[in-house]
Amino acid sequence: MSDTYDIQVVESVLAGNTDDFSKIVEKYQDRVFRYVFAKLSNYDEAMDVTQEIFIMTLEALASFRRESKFSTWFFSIMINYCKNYHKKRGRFTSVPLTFSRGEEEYELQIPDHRENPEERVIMHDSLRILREEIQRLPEDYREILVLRDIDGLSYNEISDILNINLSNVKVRIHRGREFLKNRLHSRGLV
Amino acid sequence: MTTSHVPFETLSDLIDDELSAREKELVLLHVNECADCRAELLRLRGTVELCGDLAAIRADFSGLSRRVVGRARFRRTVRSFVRFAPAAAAAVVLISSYAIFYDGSEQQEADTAVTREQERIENVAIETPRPVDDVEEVIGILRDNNATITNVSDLYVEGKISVEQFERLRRHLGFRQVAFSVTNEAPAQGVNIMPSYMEEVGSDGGFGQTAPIYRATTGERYVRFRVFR
Ligand SMILES: [Zn+2]
Repeated sequence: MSDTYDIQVVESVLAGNTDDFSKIVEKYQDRVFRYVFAKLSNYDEAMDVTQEIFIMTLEALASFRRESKFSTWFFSIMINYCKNYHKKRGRFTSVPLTFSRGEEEYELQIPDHRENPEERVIMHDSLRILREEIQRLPEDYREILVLRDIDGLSYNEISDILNINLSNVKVRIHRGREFLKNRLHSRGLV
Repeated sequence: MTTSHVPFETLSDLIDDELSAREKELVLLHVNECADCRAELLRLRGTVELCGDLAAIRADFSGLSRRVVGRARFRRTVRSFVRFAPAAAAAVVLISSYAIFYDGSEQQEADTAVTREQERIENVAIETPRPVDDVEEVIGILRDNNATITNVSDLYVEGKISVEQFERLRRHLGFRQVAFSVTNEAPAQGVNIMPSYMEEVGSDGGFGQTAPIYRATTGERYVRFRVFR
Protein backbone atom coordinates (compact mmCIF):
# COMPACT_ATOMS: atom_id res chain seq x y z
CA MET A 1 0.00 0.00 0.00
CA SER A 2 1.58 3.24 -1.07
CA ASP A 3 1.31 5.77 1.70
CA THR A 4 2.71 8.52 -0.52
CA TYR A 5 -0.18 8.13 -2.90
CA ASP A 6 -2.68 8.16 -0.03
CA ILE A 7 -1.18 11.30 1.44
CA GLN A 8 -1.28 13.05 -1.92
CA VAL A 9 -4.95 12.23 -2.29
CA VAL A 10 -5.70 13.31 1.27
CA GLU A 11 -3.94 16.64 0.72
CA SER A 12 -5.94 17.19 -2.41
CA VAL A 13 -9.24 16.38 -0.71
CA LEU A 14 -8.42 18.69 2.18
CA ALA A 15 -7.53 21.42 -0.31
CA GLY A 16 -11.12 21.27 -1.51
CA ASN A 17 -11.09 18.63 -4.24
CA THR A 18 -13.61 16.47 -2.46
CA ASP A 19 -14.21 14.31 -5.52
CA ASP A 20 -10.67 13.03 -5.21
CA PHE A 21 -11.81 11.06 -2.20
CA SER A 22 -13.23 8.57 -4.67
CA LYS A 23 -9.62 7.45 -5.21
CA ILE A 24 -9.44 6.43 -1.58
CA VAL A 25 -12.79 4.69 -1.86
CA GLU A 26 -11.71 2.78 -4.92
CA LYS A 27 -8.41 1.78 -3.42
CA TYR A 28 -9.82 0.48 -0.13
CA GLN A 29 -13.38 -0.60 -0.93
CA ASP A 30 -12.42 -4.26 -1.38
CA ARG A 31 -10.67 -4.47 1.94
CA VAL A 32 -13.37 -2.65 3.83
CA PHE A 33 -16.14 -4.71 2.32
CA ARG A 34 -14.33 -7.98 2.96
CA TYR A 35 -13.80 -7.03 6.56
CA VAL A 36 -17.37 -5.90 7.11
CA PHE A 37 -18.90 -8.75 5.16
CA ALA A 38 -17.01 -11.31 7.21
CA LYS A 39 -18.45 -9.82 10.37
CA LEU A 40 -22.00 -8.94 9.40
CA SER A 41 -24.82 -11.15 8.37
CA ASN A 42 -25.71 -9.93 4.93
CA TYR A 43 -24.58 -8.26 1.77
CA ASP A 44 -26.77 -5.16 1.78
CA GLU A 45 -25.95 -4.37 5.34
CA ALA A 46 -22.25 -4.86 4.68
CA MET A 47 -22.47 -2.50 1.71
CA ASP A 48 -24.28 0.14 3.79
CA VAL A 49 -21.70 -0.10 6.52
CA THR A 50 -18.89 0.07 3.98
CA GLN A 51 -20.38 3.28 2.61
CA GLU A 52 -20.80 4.72 6.09
CA ILE A 53 -17.19 3.99 7.00
CA PHE A 54 -15.99 5.94 3.98
CA ILE A 55 -18.30 8.86 4.73
CA MET A 56 -17.05 8.99 8.30
CA THR A 57 -13.47 8.87 7.11
CA LEU A 58 -14.04 11.72 4.71
CA GLU A 59 -15.71 13.73 7.44
CA ALA A 60 -12.88 13.04 9.85
CA LEU A 61 -10.13 13.57 7.32
CA ALA A 62 -9.03 16.93 8.68
CA SER A 63 -8.24 15.24 11.96
CA PHE A 64 -5.74 12.85 10.37
CA ARG A 65 -2.46 13.95 11.97
CA ARG A 66 -0.05 12.04 9.77
CA GLU A 67 1.48 10.44 12.84
CA SER A 68 0.83 7.09 11.23
CA LYS A 69 0.31 5.83 7.73
CA PHE A 70 -3.04 6.80 6.29
CA SER A 71 -4.01 3.14 5.96
CA THR A 72 -3.37 2.53 9.66
CA TRP A 73 -5.52 5.47 10.64
CA PHE A 74 -8.21 4.46 8.19
CA PHE A 75 -8.37 0.84 9.31
CA SER A 76 -8.67 1.99 12.91
CA ILE A 77 -11.74 3.99 11.95
CA MET A 78 -13.14 0.95 10.17
CA ILE A 79 -12.61 -1.31 13.17
CA ASN A 80 -14.04 1.14 15.66
CA TYR A 81 -17.06 1.81 13.52
CA CYS A 82 -17.82 -1.89 13.33
CA LYS A 83 -17.40 -2.32 17.07
CA ASN A 84 -19.84 0.47 17.80
CA TYR A 85 -22.16 -0.74 15.11
CA HIS A 86 -22.41 -4.12 16.78
CA LYS A 87 -23.06 -2.51 20.12
CA LYS A 88 -25.73 -0.18 18.78
CA ARG A 89 -27.46 -2.78 16.72
CA GLY A 90 -28.24 -4.85 19.77
CA ARG A 91 -30.69 -7.59 19.01
CA PHE A 92 -32.50 -5.70 16.32
CA THR A 93 -31.79 -8.30 13.69
CA SER A 94 -33.11 -11.12 15.76
CA VAL A 95 -36.57 -9.66 16.31
CA PRO A 96 -38.87 -11.50 13.96
CA LEU A 97 -41.71 -9.44 12.50
CA THR A 98 -43.86 -12.03 10.86
CA PHE A 99 -47.22 -11.19 9.37
CA SER A 100 -49.32 -12.38 6.51
CA ARG A 101 -50.36 -10.67 3.35
CA GLY A 102 -53.12 -12.60 1.67
CA GLU A 103 -51.90 -16.15 1.74
CA GLU A 104 -48.27 -15.26 1.97
CA GLU A 105 -46.25 -14.98 5.10
CA TYR A 106 -44.01 -12.01 5.35
CA GLU A 107 -41.13 -11.36 7.59
CA LEU A 108 -39.88 -7.92 8.40
CA GLN A 109 -36.40 -9.00 9.21
CA ILE A 110 -32.97 -8.47 7.83
CA PRO A 111 -32.90 -11.20 5.24
CA ASP A 112 -30.51 -13.93 6.08
CA HIS A 113 -28.18 -14.73 3.21
CA ARG A 114 -29.29 -18.34 3.30
CA GLU A 115 -32.83 -17.45 2.40
CA ASN A 116 -32.45 -14.31 0.35
CA PRO A 117 -32.91 -15.01 -3.35
CA GLU A 118 -31.64 -11.55 -4.17
CA GLU A 119 -28.30 -12.20 -2.60
CA ARG A 120 -25.87 -10.73 -5.03
CA VAL A 121 -23.02 -12.85 -3.92
CA ILE A 122 -23.07 -16.44 -4.90
CA MET A 123 -22.22 -18.13 -1.68
CA HIS A 124 -21.02 -21.66 -1.71
CA ASP A 125 -21.94 -23.79 1.25
CA SER A 126 -18.39 -23.93 2.47
CA LEU A 127 -18.10 -20.14 2.52
CA ARG A 128 -21.44 -19.82 4.23
CA ILE A 129 -20.28 -22.17 6.97
CA LEU A 130 -16.99 -20.33 7.20
CA ARG A 131 -18.80 -17.06 7.75
CA GLU A 132 -21.00 -18.59 10.41
CA GLU A 133 -17.97 -19.91 12.21
CA ILE A 134 -16.07 -16.64 11.92
CA GLN A 135 -19.01 -14.88 13.49
CA ARG A 136 -18.94 -17.36 16.35
CA LEU A 137 -15.30 -16.74 17.16
CA PRO A 138 -14.50 -14.87 20.35
CA GLU A 139 -14.20 -11.20 19.43
CA ASP A 140 -10.46 -10.98 20.15
CA TYR A 141 -9.71 -13.74 17.70
CA ARG A 142 -12.29 -12.82 15.11
CA GLU A 143 -11.02 -9.30 14.73
CA ILE A 144 -7.47 -10.30 14.15
CA LEU A 145 -8.23 -13.32 12.01
CA VAL A 146 -10.33 -11.29 9.62
CA LEU A 147 -7.60 -8.68 9.34
CA ARG A 148 -4.95 -11.31 8.73
CA ASP A 149 -6.54 -14.11 6.72
CA ILE A 150 -9.31 -12.25 4.93
CA ASP A 151 -7.94 -8.75 4.55
CA GLY A 152 -4.40 -10.04 4.19
CA LEU A 153 -2.76 -7.44 6.42
CA SER A 154 0.75 -8.09 7.74
CA TYR A 155 1.56 -8.73 11.41
CA ASN A 156 3.10 -5.27 11.55
CA GLU A 157 0.09 -3.51 10.09
CA ILE A 158 -2.22 -5.32 12.50
CA SER A 159 0.04 -4.43 15.40
CA ASP A 160 -0.18 -0.74 14.42
CA ILE A 161 -3.90 -0.72 13.80
CA LEU A 162 -4.92 -2.54 16.95
CA ASN A 163 -2.13 -0.99 18.96
CA ILE A 164 -0.98 -4.27 20.44
CA ASN A 165 2.53 -5.64 20.33
CA LEU A 166 3.74 -8.02 17.69
CA SER A 167 4.05 -11.11 19.85
CA ASN A 168 0.50 -10.55 21.03
CA VAL A 169 -0.65 -10.30 17.44
CA LYS A 170 1.00 -13.61 16.67
CA VAL A 171 -0.44 -15.37 19.67
CA ARG A 172 -3.94 -14.22 18.83
CA ILE A 173 -3.61 -15.20 15.20
CA HIS A 174 -2.39 -18.66 16.17
CA ARG A 175 -5.18 -19.18 18.69
CA GLY A 176 -7.80 -17.79 16.37
CA ARG A 177 -6.72 -20.10 13.60
CA GLU A 178 -6.68 -23.07 15.93
CA PHE A 179 -10.15 -22.22 17.14
CA LEU A 180 -11.47 -21.78 13.61
CA LYS A 181 -9.71 -24.86 12.31
CA ASN A 182 -11.29 -27.01 15.02
CA ARG A 183 -14.73 -25.59 14.28
CA LEU A 184 -14.38 -26.13 10.54
CA HIS A 185 -13.01 -29.60 11.12
CA SER A 186 -16.00 -30.49 13.26
CA ARG A 187 -18.23 -29.41 10.40
CA GLY A 188 -16.33 -31.52 7.94
CA LEU A 189 -14.82 -28.69 5.97
CA VAL A 190 -11.13 -29.23 6.63
CA MET B 1 11.72 -31.51 16.92
CA THR B 2 11.55 -34.96 15.39
CA THR B 3 10.72 -36.59 18.70
CA SER B 4 7.69 -34.50 19.70
CA HIS B 5 4.84 -33.16 17.58
CA VAL B 6 5.02 -29.72 16.07
CA PRO B 7 3.15 -27.14 18.17
CA PHE B 8 0.22 -25.53 16.44
CA GLU B 9 1.71 -22.04 16.56
CA THR B 10 4.78 -23.30 14.75
CA LEU B 11 2.59 -24.70 11.98
CA SER B 12 0.82 -21.35 11.87
CA ASP B 13 4.19 -19.59 11.61
CA LEU B 14 5.13 -21.97 8.85
CA ILE B 15 2.05 -20.98 6.88
CA ASP B 16 2.95 -17.33 7.29
CA ASP B 17 6.57 -17.99 6.43
CA GLU B 18 7.67 -16.63 9.76
CA LEU B 19 10.17 -19.39 10.56
CA SER B 20 13.90 -19.21 10.08
CA ALA B 21 15.36 -21.45 7.39
CA ARG B 22 16.66 -23.83 10.03
CA GLU B 23 13.35 -24.04 11.91
CA LYS B 24 11.47 -24.54 8.69
CA GLU B 25 13.68 -27.43 7.68
CA LEU B 26 13.18 -29.18 11.00
CA VAL B 27 9.43 -28.73 10.90
CA LEU B 28 9.14 -30.00 7.36
CA LEU B 29 11.28 -33.01 8.22
CA HIS B 30 8.96 -33.91 11.05
CA VAL B 31 5.79 -33.25 9.10
CA ASN B 32 7.06 -35.43 6.32
CA GLU B 33 7.36 -38.37 8.70
CA CYS B 34 4.47 -37.75 11.05
CA ALA B 35 0.97 -38.37 9.75
CA ASP B 36 -0.64 -36.54 12.67
CA CYS B 37 1.26 -33.33 12.11
CA ARG B 38 0.76 -33.61 8.38
CA ALA B 39 -3.00 -33.88 8.85
CA GLU B 40 -2.97 -30.95 11.24
CA LEU B 41 -0.99 -28.84 8.78
CA LEU B 42 -3.44 -29.69 6.00
CA ARG B 43 -6.40 -28.72 8.17
CA LEU B 44 -4.75 -25.45 9.03
CA ARG B 45 -3.87 -24.75 5.43
CA GLY B 46 -7.43 -25.61 4.40
CA THR B 47 -8.74 -23.12 6.96
CA VAL B 48 -6.50 -20.31 5.78
CA GLU B 49 -7.23 -21.08 2.12
CA LEU B 50 -10.95 -21.02 2.78
CA CYS B 51 -10.54 -17.58 4.31
CA GLY B 52 -8.74 -16.63 1.11
CA ASP B 53 -11.75 -17.82 -0.88
CA LEU B 54 -13.98 -15.60 1.18
CA ALA B 55 -11.63 -12.71 0.51
CA ALA B 56 -11.91 -13.38 -3.21
CA ILE B 57 -15.58 -12.44 -3.25
CA ARG B 58 -16.24 -9.49 -5.50
CA ALA B 59 -18.90 -7.03 -4.51
CA ASP B 60 -20.64 -4.53 -6.74
CA PHE B 61 -19.10 -1.18 -5.89
CA SER B 62 -20.59 0.77 -8.75
CA GLY B 63 -21.62 4.20 -7.58
CA LEU B 64 -20.11 3.74 -4.12
CA SER B 65 -17.55 6.54 -4.34
CA ARG B 66 -20.16 8.87 -5.83
CA ARG B 67 -22.56 8.11 -3.00
CA VAL B 68 -19.87 8.58 -0.37
CA VAL B 69 -18.80 11.98 -1.65
CA GLY B 70 -22.42 13.04 -2.23
CA ARG B 71 -23.64 12.07 1.22
CA ALA B 72 -20.65 13.65 2.94
CA ARG B 73 -21.24 16.91 1.04
CA PHE B 74 -24.91 16.85 1.93
CA ARG B 75 -24.25 16.34 5.62
CA ARG B 76 -21.62 19.05 5.66
CA THR B 77 -24.07 21.48 4.09
CA VAL B 78 -26.67 20.60 6.65
CA ARG B 79 -24.25 21.08 9.51
CA SER B 80 -23.15 24.44 8.24
CA PHE B 81 -26.80 25.58 8.33
CA VAL B 82 -27.11 24.39 11.87
CA ARG B 83 -24.14 26.50 12.87
CA PHE B 84 -25.56 29.60 11.20
CA ALA B 85 -29.11 29.49 12.32
CA PRO B 86 -31.22 30.05 15.38
CA ALA B 87 -32.90 26.71 15.92
CA ALA B 88 -36.27 28.17 16.82
CA ALA B 89 -36.94 29.44 13.34
CA ALA B 90 -36.49 26.01 11.84
CA ALA B 91 -39.86 24.51 12.56
CA VAL B 92 -41.79 27.47 11.23
CA VAL B 93 -39.98 27.56 7.94
CA LEU B 94 -40.32 23.85 7.51
CA ILE B 95 -44.01 23.67 8.20
CA SER B 96 -44.98 26.60 6.04
CA SER B 97 -42.88 25.73 3.05
CA TYR B 98 -42.27 22.06 3.02
CA ALA B 99 -45.21 20.17 4.36
CA ILE B 100 -46.08 17.74 1.63
CA PHE B 101 -49.50 16.31 1.07
CA TYR B 102 -50.61 14.30 -1.85
CA ASP B 103 -53.23 11.82 -2.90
CA GLY B 104 -51.59 8.44 -2.91
CA SER B 105 -54.32 6.58 -4.74
CA GLU B 106 -52.47 6.63 -8.02
CA GLN B 107 -49.20 5.24 -6.92
CA GLN B 108 -47.04 6.08 -9.87
CA GLU B 109 -48.17 9.67 -10.07
CA ALA B 110 -47.74 10.05 -6.40
CA ASP B 111 -44.28 8.64 -6.50
CA THR B 112 -43.29 10.99 -9.26
CA ALA B 113 -44.73 13.91 -7.39
CA VAL B 114 -42.98 12.94 -4.24
CA THR B 115 -39.72 12.40 -6.06
CA ARG B 116 -40.05 15.94 -7.34
CA GLU B 117 -40.78 17.16 -3.87
CA GLN B 118 -37.83 15.32 -2.51
CA GLU B 119 -35.61 16.74 -5.19
CA ARG B 120 -36.94 20.16 -4.35
CA ILE B 121 -36.22 19.63 -0.71
CA GLU B 122 -32.74 18.48 -1.52
CA ASN B 123 -32.08 21.43 -3.78
CA VAL B 124 -33.44 23.89 -1.31
CA ALA B 125 -31.41 22.31 1.42
CA ILE B 126 -28.23 22.63 -0.54
CA GLU B 127 -28.76 26.04 -2.07
CA THR B 128 -30.58 28.03 0.55
CA PRO B 129 -28.99 28.71 3.87
CA ARG B 130 -31.79 28.24 6.34
CA PRO B 131 -32.11 26.82 9.78
CA VAL B 132 -32.51 23.11 10.12
CA ASP B 133 -32.37 20.50 12.73
CA ASP B 134 -32.07 16.78 12.23
CA VAL B 135 -34.93 16.81 9.75
CA GLU B 136 -32.67 17.33 6.76
CA GLU B 137 -30.72 14.27 7.67
CA VAL B 138 -33.94 12.31 8.16
CA ILE B 139 -35.23 13.40 4.77
CA GLY B 140 -31.93 12.38 3.23
CA ILE B 141 -32.23 8.95 4.79
CA LEU B 142 -35.84 8.58 3.66
CA ARG B 143 -34.90 9.59 0.15
CA ASP B 144 -32.01 7.14 0.03
CA ASN B 145 -34.36 4.39 1.08
CA ASN B 146 -37.06 5.22 -1.47
CA ALA B 147 -39.50 6.10 1.26
CA THR B 148 -42.37 8.38 0.37
CA ILE B 149 -42.61 11.46 2.53
CA THR B 150 -46.19 12.39 3.30
CA ASN B 151 -45.84 15.11 5.88
CA VAL B 152 -43.24 17.18 7.62
CA SER B 153 -44.29 18.90 10.79
CA ASP B 154 -42.53 20.47 13.69
CA LEU B 155 -42.87 17.23 15.58
CA TYR B 156 -42.14 14.56 13.05
CA VAL B 157 -41.51 13.52 9.48
CA GLU B 158 -44.21 11.20 8.24
CA GLY B 159 -44.06 8.80 5.37
CA LYS B 160 -44.65 5.39 4.00
CA ILE B 161 -42.54 2.63 2.58
CA SER B 162 -43.02 -0.92 1.40
CA VAL B 163 -42.90 -3.52 4.12
CA GLU B 164 -39.90 -5.10 2.46
CA GLN B 165 -37.87 -1.92 2.69
CA PHE B 166 -38.87 -0.88 6.16
CA GLU B 167 -36.29 -2.91 8.00
CA ARG B 168 -33.44 -1.29 6.17
CA LEU B 169 -34.91 2.16 6.66
CA ARG B 170 -35.30 1.49 10.37
CA ARG B 171 -31.66 0.60 10.59
CA HIS B 172 -30.63 3.74 8.79
CA LEU B 173 -32.67 5.89 11.12
CA GLY B 174 -30.50 4.78 14.01
CA PHE B 175 -31.49 6.10 17.41
CA ARG B 176 -34.34 8.26 16.23
CA GLN B 177 -37.74 7.54 17.66
CA VAL B 178 -40.05 5.94 15.13
CA ALA B 179 -43.72 5.06 15.31
CA PHE B 180 -45.22 2.90 12.61
CA SER B 181 -48.20 0.89 11.46
CA VAL B 182 -48.82 -1.48 8.60
CA THR B 183 -51.57 -0.61 6.19
CA ASN B 184 -53.00 -1.22 2.79
CA GLU B 185 -54.45 2.24 2.32
CA ALA B 186 -52.67 5.09 0.71
CA PRO B 187 -52.54 8.05 3.05
CA ALA B 188 -55.40 10.42 2.33
CA GLN B 189 -54.85 14.11 2.02
CA GLY B 190 -54.17 15.81 5.25
CA VAL B 191 -55.43 12.94 7.34
CA ASN B 192 -53.42 12.24 10.40
CA ILE B 193 -52.07 8.78 10.67
CA MET B 194 -52.43 7.22 14.02
CA PRO B 195 -49.48 4.96 14.54
CA SER B 196 -50.38 1.58 15.96
CA TYR B 197 -46.97 0.82 17.28
CA MET B 198 -44.62 2.98 19.17
CA GLU B 199 -41.04 2.14 19.60
CA GLU B 200 -39.22 3.29 22.63
CA VAL B 201 -35.73 3.73 21.39
CA GLY B 202 -32.99 5.91 22.65
CA SER B 203 -31.00 6.34 25.79
CA ASP B 204 -32.12 3.30 27.73
CA GLY B 205 -33.16 0.60 25.34
CA GLY B 206 -30.66 1.20 22.55
CA PHE B 207 -31.21 0.99 18.85
CA GLY B 208 -34.27 -1.00 17.97
CA GLN B 209 -34.29 -2.86 21.21
CA THR B 210 -38.02 -3.04 21.55
CA ALA B 211 -39.32 -3.21 18.02
CA PRO B 212 -42.72 -4.71 18.63
CA ILE B 213 -43.93 -7.86 16.99
CA TYR B 214 -47.15 -7.29 15.18
CA ARG B 215 -49.41 -9.23 12.91
CA ALA B 216 -51.15 -7.38 10.15
CA THR B 217 -54.34 -8.43 8.49
CA THR B 218 -54.65 -9.42 4.87
CA GLY B 219 -53.54 -7.39 1.93
CA GLU B 220 -51.26 -5.03 3.71
CA ARG B 221 -48.67 -3.29 1.68
CA TYR B 222 -47.15 -0.35 3.40
CA VAL B 223 -45.58 0.67 6.58
CA ARG B 224 -46.62 4.13 7.61
CA PHE B 225 -44.24 5.74 9.97
CA ARG B 226 -43.36 8.87 11.81
CA VAL B 227 -39.82 9.79 12.61
CA PHE B 228 -39.89 12.12 15.60
CA ARG B 229 -37.68 15.13 15.70
ZN1 LIG C 1 4.04 -35.04 14.70
